[in-house]
Amino acid sequence: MEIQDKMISAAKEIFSSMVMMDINVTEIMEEHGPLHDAITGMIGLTGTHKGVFAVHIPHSVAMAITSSFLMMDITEINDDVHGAVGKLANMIGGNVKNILSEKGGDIDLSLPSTSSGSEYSFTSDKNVEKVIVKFDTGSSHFLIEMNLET
Amino acid sequence: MDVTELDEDVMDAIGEIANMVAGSLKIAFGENGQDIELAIPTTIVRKSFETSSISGAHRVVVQFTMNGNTFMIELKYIDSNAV
Repeated sequence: MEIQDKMISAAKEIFSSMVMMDINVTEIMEEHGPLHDAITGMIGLTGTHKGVFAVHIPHSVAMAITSSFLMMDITEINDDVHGAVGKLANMIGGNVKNILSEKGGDIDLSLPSTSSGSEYSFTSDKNVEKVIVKFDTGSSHFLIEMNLET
Repeated sequence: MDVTELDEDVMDAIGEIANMVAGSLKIAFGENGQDIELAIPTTIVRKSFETSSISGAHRVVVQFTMNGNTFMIELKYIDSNAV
């Protein structure tokens, strides 16, 4: 199974079971430009696979996800949204970890962290294999990204 | 060479600094019998942003000054024994 297939199945599982949102793959990319009005949740991987996994989510989608998680209306990018996006990165990253490593214990995950802004660039080490998957939520798009050291 | 804009070289350099400082921490922890592993450095650049980590994580921020400007280093962690 290619890495993007693992990322896609992990994301679809989390979105259908935890976020209650149907998502479809739009495209597989190797690069993305600056991110606008978005929030990034990221988590580091060490062990047999070393790298970083990130989700880049437009503010509108992030608020919808948080509303779904907390079962309350969220209308601004607050601590709850940061918490939900960090949790999402943690859950999808954890799911990918279990698919990448047969024993699961061969890979360790760092704490999730989040970062939000109106326009920003996100980049990691040069010597990585980068896989970015763009998803469609029906009304918007978001990205998940895996950078693995080669 | 003179670097005058926030290009890839700058992002690489900052990522490398994060990697080196964390690498020193890793060695210091290792000498204390606490083995930690590092993921890869990532860099985010923008005019204004906020960052956050999971609730309950310890957060230590140290501010430095250099030529009249300030920068910060920050460590967030949880006690793995508590998990």
